Amino acid sequence: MKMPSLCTPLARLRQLLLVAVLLPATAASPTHAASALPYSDFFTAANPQHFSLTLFISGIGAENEYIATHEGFELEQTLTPYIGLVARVVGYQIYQSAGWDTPLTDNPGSRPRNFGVFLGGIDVLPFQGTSMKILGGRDVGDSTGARIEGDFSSWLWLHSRHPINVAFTGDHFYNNGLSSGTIDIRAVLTSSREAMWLIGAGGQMWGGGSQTQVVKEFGPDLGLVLREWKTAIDLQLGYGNLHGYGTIAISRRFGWDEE
Amino acid sequence: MFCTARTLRTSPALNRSGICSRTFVQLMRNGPPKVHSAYHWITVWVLLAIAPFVWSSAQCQTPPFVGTIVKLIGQAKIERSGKEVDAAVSMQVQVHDRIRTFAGAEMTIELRDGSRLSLSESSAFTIDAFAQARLARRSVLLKLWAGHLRAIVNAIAGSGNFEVHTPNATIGVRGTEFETAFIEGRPCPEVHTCMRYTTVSVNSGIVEVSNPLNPRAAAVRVAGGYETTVPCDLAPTSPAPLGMEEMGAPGYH
Repeated sequence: MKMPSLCTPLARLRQLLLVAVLLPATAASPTHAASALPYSDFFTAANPQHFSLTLFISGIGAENEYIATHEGFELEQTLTPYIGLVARVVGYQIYQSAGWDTPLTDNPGSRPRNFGVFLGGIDVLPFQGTSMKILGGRDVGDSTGARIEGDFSSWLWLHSRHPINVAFTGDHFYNNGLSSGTIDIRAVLTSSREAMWLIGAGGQMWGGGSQTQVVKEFGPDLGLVLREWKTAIDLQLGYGNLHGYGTIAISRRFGWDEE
Repeated sequence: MFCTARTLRTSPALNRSGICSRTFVQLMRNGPPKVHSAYHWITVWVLLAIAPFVWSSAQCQTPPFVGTIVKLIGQAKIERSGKEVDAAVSMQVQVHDRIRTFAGAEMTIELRDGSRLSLSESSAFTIDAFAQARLARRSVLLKLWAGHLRAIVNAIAGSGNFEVHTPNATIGVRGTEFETAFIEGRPCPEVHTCMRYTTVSVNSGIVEVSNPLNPRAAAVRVAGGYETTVPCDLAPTSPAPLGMEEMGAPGYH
């Protein structure tokens, strides 16, 4: 039986076609992609998927008589190793006056003002310890406007004696046209099996809408993470245009891997 | 003194005759024996000659049972000589036992040197070696196959080797309390594409962590309050404060 020659033009064309078909297919195979380029698995489903629930409550008290409490929960579902879906539900109670996180258009007066906030969006996790959330939603209750929010948090020098966390938050309230931002920089002081202590400084600034000038306040903060309980307690005391203020925030995180 | 209670216990012949204790005390109190007790005199010298051998063999043998299960919540199994039996509190464990816990289970084993091992749910490990001389630890070698193991190493029991091995990490202990987890099938937080990794968290003391799959990679010394991760065949990461892995996960802020 006569074997077909590999040197004929037709055979060469077949070889070229074969290479043209196999090369992209090889390049697109998961094993090749995973080891070749960082972020090549950006759109690959996370394995295992992870679902987390964070419960939180916070209180704010300021010398100018702004007193408010918030409480709520946040759900996050991973989609890929780098992208997650986020939903947040918060209840706000404002007892007196107005502050940096108030979407209300007028002073609450003699009665507390209550409203709920429903937010949804995505969380981009470009590398370990860094998270960028982009959220949008609407208020219901005494405030009814829309709002958008961006949260950024990143750990620097993660593998050092005292890693540093840098966090920014930006909000815009369409109800009263106010824009606000917070900043927080803190370092790990010490850590043990039971607890981690963090120390740093932070503050907030806001302006726009009926607020004719930009208002600022800053101060030192202290964080305690009870590791076994996955609970964080944060305290901040500071001073600014509206004199002294203090905040306390408590959050607890639960997480489940989905097999 | 050669005739301690311990030697007598481990030497039934001596125990039965009672020669050792009586004759030795007599020697010490009354000086050399009389001629009529020449038989006793010879016996004493023979016993003195063999005592060191009896002593060393009694003290240096590896005991068959190396620890006891002191706490068990849920279900766990011990595989011994190819047979698997249900684990129970007060059950003794021996070298080469493969011990595994099921989902929701938790087990604590107290080793003969006073060290404690706590095995979390869905975990498996073997005690590959255990050697003791008197009460001092000579060497302990544990192999963690899956899950999470917490070891509280009894520093008073001596400075002998205490090692935990996982498929991709060797953890050498220097009198300390630490936790090891070997995780397979989940992406390593340090390197997403790596699906098998070991984390070592040190609560007190110092451990030295290396990767046997990568002998050229430098070992990392981890002190109390810090943790390290060993991804696949890569070098252990530089130590980070305990809990940084959780803090690095989304949701802290």
